Amino acid sequence: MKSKIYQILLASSCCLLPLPGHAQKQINKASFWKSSYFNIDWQANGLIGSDFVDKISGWGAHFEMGHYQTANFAIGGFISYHTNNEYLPYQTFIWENSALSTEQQHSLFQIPFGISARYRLSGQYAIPYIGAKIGAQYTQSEDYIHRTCVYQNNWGFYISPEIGVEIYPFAQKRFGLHLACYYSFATNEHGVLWYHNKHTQNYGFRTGITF
Amino acid sequence: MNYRLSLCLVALTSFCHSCQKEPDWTEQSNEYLVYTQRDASFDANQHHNYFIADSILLIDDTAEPKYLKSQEAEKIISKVAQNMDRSGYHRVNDKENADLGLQLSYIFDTYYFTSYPSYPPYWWWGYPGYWDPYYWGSYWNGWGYSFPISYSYSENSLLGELVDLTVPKEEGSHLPVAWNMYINGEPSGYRHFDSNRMQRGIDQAFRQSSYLKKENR
Repeated sequence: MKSKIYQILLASSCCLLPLPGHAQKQINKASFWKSSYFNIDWQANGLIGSDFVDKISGWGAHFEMGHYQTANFAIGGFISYHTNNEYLPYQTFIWENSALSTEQQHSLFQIPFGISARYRLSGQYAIPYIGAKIGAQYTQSEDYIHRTCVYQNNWGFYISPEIGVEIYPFAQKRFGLHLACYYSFATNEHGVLWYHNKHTQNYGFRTGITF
Repeated sequence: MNYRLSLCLVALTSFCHSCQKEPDWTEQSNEYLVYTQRDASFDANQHHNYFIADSILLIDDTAEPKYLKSQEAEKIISKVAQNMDRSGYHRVNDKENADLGLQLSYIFDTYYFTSYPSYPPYWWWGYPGYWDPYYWGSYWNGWGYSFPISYSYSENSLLGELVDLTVPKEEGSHLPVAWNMYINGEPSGYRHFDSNRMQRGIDQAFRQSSYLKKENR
């Protein structure tokens, strides 16, 4: 009888051992947190080859979080937004049998989001990395002719390579500075009226915090 | 967990969308928009004189036709006449002897005027008091437009139409519109300032319509 009780206890222990206890869960949580990163950035963005807006602007932000699957490789998610505005002074457009003189305000608003991947190199205070993002992009093009707005919006596919560095100048290593440069390509058309751009290409840089 | 994550994503996307930056309106000069169209077959050299109506039709929310004959209206009419003179035409006081006729309308309110359908009969058939082809002669039966008009009308707009009175005057024929201009902008509230902008708009309308200039003056 005694040996039977021992056998039951041993079997139960074997079943329970693989299940993480509360303390182990805490350790795993701490470990997950330690190997994750968060970026909150301000960004400056310009368009490449656009006849609609070609002025760089700082009206944008970027949010990203990820988790290191190995010591150097991380995957995560991101979302950012950006507005590029440009004032076009009074000018005359002449067509075959008509002409228009007006000033315009062009505005292009973009929201890309999706998944990100990152490979970091080794370093103690400055950790450089290369990354790539893939996802969807929402774009809204607006042309204001006096307060009348002509607009179009659409969805497209988004891809973006990026290089950056995380700098940890403080003793508390979790908190640091983040710098990055990027290029992006989206299949979104942009422009309205007589402005047509088949794709949307951007360049820019980000600066912010990482933790 | 997925439900919460989706909610967070929706909230974040909405937040991002609300962060769109509006254009800087202080950059605007607020010069008036000027749009002109023409009949491609119009030949300025075949026309020598013109008649311009001595008042501007005021279009507001009332059905009764009103005509502006104020000092500002006179300035507008003079500015159009000045540009016609510069283009090489001679002003006449009798519309029976004119090759070209000019009619001006000012839209104060768009209660009746909203847009122009691209098919006949055109909107002014239904507008009480709008310039009637009959004004230019009893033989005209409607307007003859060779170009589509695709814009909407707004408040504080000046419309100008140049009609060709040299076409054969047959009973029931259409009166061809050779050229038109549309000048529009937000009123500032200062009549003198707005009138000056409107006059600059008229200069611009003629500047961008170089085909109105006669070669052999």
